[in-house]
Amino acid sequence: MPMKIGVRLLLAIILAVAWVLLTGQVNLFGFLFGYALGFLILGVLRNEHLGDSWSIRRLPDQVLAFVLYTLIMLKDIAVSSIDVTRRVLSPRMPLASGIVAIEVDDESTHQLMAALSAHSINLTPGEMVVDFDGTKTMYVHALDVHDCLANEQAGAQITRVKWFKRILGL
Amino acid sequence: MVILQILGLIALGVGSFFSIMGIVGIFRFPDVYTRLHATGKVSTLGLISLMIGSGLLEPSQGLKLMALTIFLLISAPVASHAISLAAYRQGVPLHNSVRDDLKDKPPVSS
Repeated sequence: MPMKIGVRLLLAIILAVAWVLLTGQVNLFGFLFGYALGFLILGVLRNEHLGDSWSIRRLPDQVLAFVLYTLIMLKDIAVSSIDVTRRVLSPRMPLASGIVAIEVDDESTHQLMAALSAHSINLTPGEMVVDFDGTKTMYVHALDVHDCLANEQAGAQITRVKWFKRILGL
Repeated sequence: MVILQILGLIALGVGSFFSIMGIVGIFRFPDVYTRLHATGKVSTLGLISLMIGSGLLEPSQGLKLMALTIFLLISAPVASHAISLAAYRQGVPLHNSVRDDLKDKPPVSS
Protein backbone atom coordinates (compact mmCIF):
# COMPACT_ATOMS: atom_id res chain seq x y z
CA MET A 1 0.00 0.00 0.00
CA PRO A 2 1.46 3.38 -0.96
CA MET A 3 2.25 6.01 1.60
CA LYS A 4 -0.36 8.58 2.56
CA ILE A 5 -0.03 11.67 0.38
CA GLY A 6 0.38 14.05 3.34
CA VAL A 7 3.18 11.95 4.77
CA ARG A 8 4.88 11.91 1.39
CA LEU A 9 4.60 15.70 1.04
CA LEU A 10 6.27 16.20 4.43
CA LEU A 11 8.95 13.54 4.11
CA ALA A 12 9.87 14.97 0.72
CA ILE A 13 10.84 18.22 2.49
CA ILE A 14 13.50 16.35 4.44
CA LEU A 15 14.78 14.72 1.26
CA ALA A 16 14.77 18.08 -0.52
CA VAL A 17 16.84 19.66 2.27
CA ALA A 18 19.28 16.77 2.05
CA TRP A 19 19.44 17.24 -1.73
CA VAL A 20 20.18 20.95 -1.36
CA LEU A 21 22.89 20.28 1.21
CA LEU A 22 24.49 17.57 -0.91
CA THR A 23 24.47 19.38 -4.22
CA GLY A 24 25.43 22.71 -2.67
CA GLN A 25 22.91 24.53 -4.88
CA VAL A 26 21.27 26.61 -2.20
CA ASN A 27 18.53 28.20 -4.27
CA LEU A 28 14.85 27.78 -4.97
CA PHE A 29 15.35 25.72 -8.10
CA GLY A 30 17.60 23.24 -6.31
CA PHE A 31 15.08 22.87 -3.51
CA LEU A 32 12.12 22.37 -5.85
CA PHE A 33 14.01 19.85 -7.95
CA GLY A 34 15.01 17.92 -4.83
CA TYR A 35 11.43 18.12 -3.57
CA ALA A 36 10.00 16.71 -6.79
CA LEU A 37 12.62 13.98 -6.86
CA GLY A 38 12.01 13.08 -3.22
CA PHE A 39 8.25 12.98 -3.78
CA LEU A 40 8.64 10.59 -6.70
CA ILE A 41 11.08 8.36 -4.84
CA LEU A 42 8.77 8.13 -1.83
CA GLY A 43 5.99 6.99 -4.14
CA VAL A 44 8.08 4.08 -5.34
CA LEU A 45 9.14 2.98 -1.84
CA ARG A 46 7.28 0.12 -0.32
CA ASN A 47 6.60 0.91 3.29
CA GLU A 48 5.33 -1.02 6.25
CA HIS A 49 2.49 1.15 7.50
CA LEU A 50 4.81 4.04 8.19
CA GLY A 51 2.68 7.03 9.06
CA ASP A 52 -0.64 5.24 8.82
CA SER A 53 -1.92 6.75 12.04
CA TRP A 54 -0.15 10.03 11.53
CA SER A 55 -1.81 13.45 11.41
CA ILE A 56 -0.50 16.99 11.00
CA ARG A 57 -1.47 17.93 14.55
CA ARG A 58 1.32 15.77 15.87
CA LEU A 59 4.03 17.59 13.97
CA PRO A 60 4.90 20.32 16.55
CA ASP A 61 5.28 17.74 19.29
CA GLN A 62 7.41 15.56 17.03
CA VAL A 63 9.71 18.45 16.18
CA LEU A 64 9.96 19.38 19.86
CA ALA A 65 10.74 15.79 20.80
CA PHE A 66 13.35 15.58 18.05
CA VAL A 67 15.11 18.75 19.22
CA LEU A 68 15.05 17.66 22.87
CA TYR A 69 16.34 14.20 22.03
CA THR A 70 19.13 15.68 19.91
CA LEU A 71 20.19 17.82 22.87
CA ILE A 72 20.11 14.79 25.18
CA MET A 73 22.24 12.85 22.70
CA LEU A 74 24.75 15.70 22.41
CA LYS A 75 25.04 15.76 26.20
CA ASP A 76 25.52 11.98 26.19
CA ILE A 77 28.25 12.19 23.57
CA ALA A 78 30.08 14.85 25.58
CA VAL A 79 29.74 12.93 28.86
CA SER A 80 30.90 9.67 27.29
CA SER A 81 33.85 11.30 25.55
CA ILE A 82 35.01 12.92 28.77
CA ASP A 83 34.58 9.60 30.55
CA VAL A 84 36.66 7.73 27.97
CA THR A 85 39.27 10.51 27.94
CA ARG A 86 39.55 10.22 31.73
CA ARG A 87 40.17 6.49 31.41
CA VAL A 88 42.69 6.98 28.60
CA LEU A 89 44.70 9.53 30.54
CA SER A 90 44.59 7.78 33.90
CA PRO A 91 47.89 5.94 34.44
CA ARG A 92 46.26 2.82 35.89
CA MET A 93 43.56 2.81 33.21
CA PRO A 94 40.49 1.75 35.20
CA LEU A 95 38.84 -0.80 32.93
CA ALA A 96 36.48 -3.58 33.79
CA SER A 97 35.31 -4.30 30.29
CA GLY A 98 32.94 -7.04 29.32
CA ILE A 99 29.88 -7.91 27.32
CA VAL A 100 26.58 -7.67 29.14
CA ALA A 101 23.31 -9.15 27.97
CA ILE A 102 20.43 -6.73 28.34
CA GLU A 103 16.84 -7.89 28.21
CA VAL A 104 14.67 -5.51 26.22
CA ASP A 105 10.91 -5.26 26.06
CA ASP A 106 8.71 -6.31 23.17
CA GLU A 107 8.47 -2.91 21.55
CA SER A 108 12.20 -2.91 20.96
CA THR A 109 11.83 -5.84 18.60
CA HIS A 110 10.34 -3.56 15.97
CA GLN A 111 13.22 -3.37 13.50
CA LEU A 112 13.26 0.40 13.28
CA MET A 113 13.22 0.75 17.08
CA ALA A 114 15.98 -1.81 17.46
CA ALA A 115 18.19 -0.07 14.91
CA LEU A 116 17.61 3.41 16.34
CA SER A 117 18.16 2.40 19.95
CA ALA A 118 21.30 0.43 19.12
CA HIS A 119 22.52 3.55 17.37
CA SER A 120 21.86 5.64 20.47
CA ILE A 121 23.44 3.12 22.81
CA ASN A 122 26.64 3.34 20.78
CA LEU A 123 26.86 7.01 21.69
CA THR A 124 25.93 6.75 25.37
CA PRO A 125 28.64 6.62 28.02
CA GLY A 126 30.81 3.54 27.99
CA GLU A 127 28.62 1.27 25.92
CA MET A 128 28.58 -0.24 22.46
CA VAL A 129 26.15 -2.74 21.00
CA VAL A 130 27.90 -5.85 19.75
CA ASP A 131 24.98 -8.08 18.86
CA PHE A 132 21.21 -8.20 18.93
CA ASP A 133 19.47 -11.53 18.67
CA GLY A 134 16.38 -9.97 17.13
CA THR A 135 14.00 -11.09 19.85
CA LYS A 136 14.75 -9.84 23.32
CA THR A 137 18.43 -9.60 24.17
CA MET A 138 20.97 -6.96 23.27
CA TYR A 139 24.63 -7.70 23.87
CA VAL A 140 26.37 -4.54 24.95
CA HIS A 141 30.09 -4.09 25.38
CA ALA A 142 30.83 -1.82 28.33
CA LEU A 143 34.08 -0.26 29.46
CA ASP A 144 33.02 -0.76 33.04
CA VAL A 145 30.42 -3.46 33.58
CA HIS A 146 29.70 -2.18 37.09
CA ASP A 147 28.37 1.06 35.63
CA CYS A 148 26.15 -0.89 33.31
CA LEU A 149 23.74 -2.75 35.58
CA ALA A 150 21.31 -4.73 33.52
CA ASN A 151 18.08 -3.50 35.14
CA GLU A 152 19.14 0.12 34.97
CA GLN A 153 19.81 -0.36 31.26
CA ALA A 154 16.43 -1.93 30.66
CA GLY A 155 14.86 1.21 32.16
CA ALA A 156 16.98 3.43 29.94
CA GLN A 157 15.91 1.38 26.94
CA ILE A 158 12.22 1.86 27.76
CA THR A 159 12.75 5.63 28.01
CA ARG A 160 14.60 5.59 24.70
CA VAL A 161 11.84 3.69 22.90
CA LYS A 162 9.31 6.19 24.28
CA TRP A 163 11.34 9.04 22.80
CA PHE A 164 11.53 7.33 19.41
CA LYS A 165 7.81 6.66 19.38
CA ARG A 166 7.16 10.31 20.16
CA ILE A 167 9.54 11.49 17.44
CA LEU A 168 8.22 9.11 14.80
CA GLY A 169 4.61 9.68 15.79
CA LEU A 170 3.90 5.98 16.20
CA MET B 1 33.59 39.54 14.24
CA VAL B 2 36.42 38.90 16.65
CA ILE B 3 34.24 37.06 19.17
CA LEU B 4 33.13 34.53 16.56
CA GLN B 5 36.73 33.91 15.60
CA ILE B 6 37.80 33.43 19.21
CA LEU B 7 34.92 30.99 19.80
CA GLY B 8 35.83 29.21 16.58
CA LEU B 9 39.43 28.85 17.63
CA ILE B 10 38.39 27.54 21.05
CA ALA B 11 36.13 24.97 19.36
CA LEU B 12 38.98 23.96 17.03
CA GLY B 13 41.23 23.53 20.06
CA VAL B 14 38.70 21.39 21.90
CA GLY B 15 38.12 19.34 18.76
CA SER B 16 41.82 18.75 18.25
CA PHE B 17 42.20 17.75 21.90
CA PHE B 18 39.47 15.11 21.70
CA SER B 19 40.69 13.82 18.34
CA ILE B 20 44.16 13.35 19.80
CA MET B 21 42.66 11.64 22.84
CA GLY B 22 40.88 9.24 20.50
CA ILE B 23 44.21 8.31 18.93
CA VAL B 24 45.91 7.98 22.33
CA GLY B 25 43.05 5.70 23.29
CA ILE B 26 43.76 3.44 20.31
CA PHE B 27 47.30 3.00 21.56
CA ARG B 28 46.57 2.63 25.26
CA PHE B 29 43.47 0.44 25.33
CA PRO B 30 44.10 -3.29 25.36
CA ASP B 31 41.71 -4.84 22.79
CA VAL B 32 39.55 -4.16 19.74
CA TYR B 33 36.37 -3.50 21.65
CA THR B 34 37.74 -0.95 24.09
CA ARG B 35 39.62 0.74 21.27
CA LEU B 36 36.39 1.14 19.38
CA HIS B 37 35.04 3.07 22.36
CA ALA B 38 37.93 5.48 21.93
CA THR B 39 37.49 5.98 18.18
CA GLY B 40 33.72 5.79 18.07
CA LYS B 41 32.94 8.28 20.81
CA VAL B 42 35.88 10.52 21.51
CA SER B 43 36.68 11.11 17.86
CA THR B 44 33.01 11.80 17.17
CA LEU B 45 32.97 14.59 19.74
CA GLY B 46 36.30 15.82 18.42
CA LEU B 47 34.97 15.99 14.88
CA ILE B 48 31.71 17.68 15.89
CA SER B 49 33.75 20.28 17.70
CA LEU B 50 36.05 20.75 14.71
CA MET B 51 33.00 21.21 12.46
CA ILE B 52 31.54 23.82 14.83
CA GLY B 53 34.86 25.61 14.91
CA SER B 54 35.17 25.64 11.13
CA GLY B 55 31.59 26.82 10.85
CA LEU B 56 32.26 29.75 13.17
CA LEU B 57 35.37 30.73 11.23
CA GLU B 58 33.81 30.24 7.79
CA PRO B 59 30.06 30.86 8.19
CA SER B 60 29.53 30.66 4.42
CA GLN B 61 30.27 26.92 4.53
CA GLY B 62 27.91 26.35 7.45
CA LEU B 63 25.35 24.25 5.58
CA LYS B 64 27.91 21.84 4.21
CA LEU B 65 29.52 21.46 7.62
CA MET B 66 26.12 20.78 9.13
CA ALA B 67 25.44 18.10 6.55
CA LEU B 68 28.85 16.56 7.24
CA THR B 69 28.13 16.50 10.97
CA ILE B 70 24.80 14.77 10.43
CA PHE B 71 26.33 12.11 8.20
CA LEU B 72 29.11 11.60 10.72
CA LEU B 73 26.62 11.18 13.55
CA ILE B 74 24.71 8.62 11.52
CA SER B 75 27.69 6.62 10.28
CA ALA B 76 30.19 6.57 13.16
CA PRO B 77 28.17 4.46 15.63
CA VAL B 78 27.10 2.10 12.85
CA ALA B 79 30.73 1.58 11.90
CA SER B 80 31.86 0.84 15.44
CA HIS B 81 28.97 -1.59 15.87
CA ALA B 82 29.77 -3.37 12.62
CA ILE B 83 33.47 -3.65 13.41
CA SER B 84 32.84 -4.97 16.92
CA LEU B 85 30.36 -7.58 15.71
CA ALA B 86 32.70 -8.70 12.93
CA ALA B 87 35.57 -8.91 15.39
CA TYR B 88 33.49 -10.96 17.81
CA ARG B 89 32.39 -13.40 15.12
CA GLN B 90 35.98 -13.77 13.96
CA GLY B 91 36.81 -14.81 17.51
CA VAL B 92 38.92 -11.83 18.51
CA PRO B 93 39.33 -12.29 22.27
CA LEU B 94 38.42 -9.78 24.93
CA HIS B 95 41.38 -8.71 27.00
CA ASN B 96 41.00 -9.05 30.77
CA SER B 97 37.25 -8.96 30.49
CA VAL B 98 35.20 -9.29 33.63
CA ARG B 99 32.17 -10.73 31.97
CA ASP B 100 31.08 -12.11 28.61
CA ASP B 101 27.40 -12.91 28.25
CA LEU B 102 27.67 -13.41 24.51
CA LYS B 103 29.91 -16.45 24.87
CA ASP B 104 27.06 -18.86 25.56
CA LYS B 105 25.06 -17.75 22.57
CA PRO B 106 25.25 -19.63 19.27
CA PRO B 107 27.63 -17.63 17.08
CA VAL B 108 25.48 -16.76 14.09
CA SER B 109 22.22 -14.87 14.32
CA SER B 110 20.21 -13.71 11.36
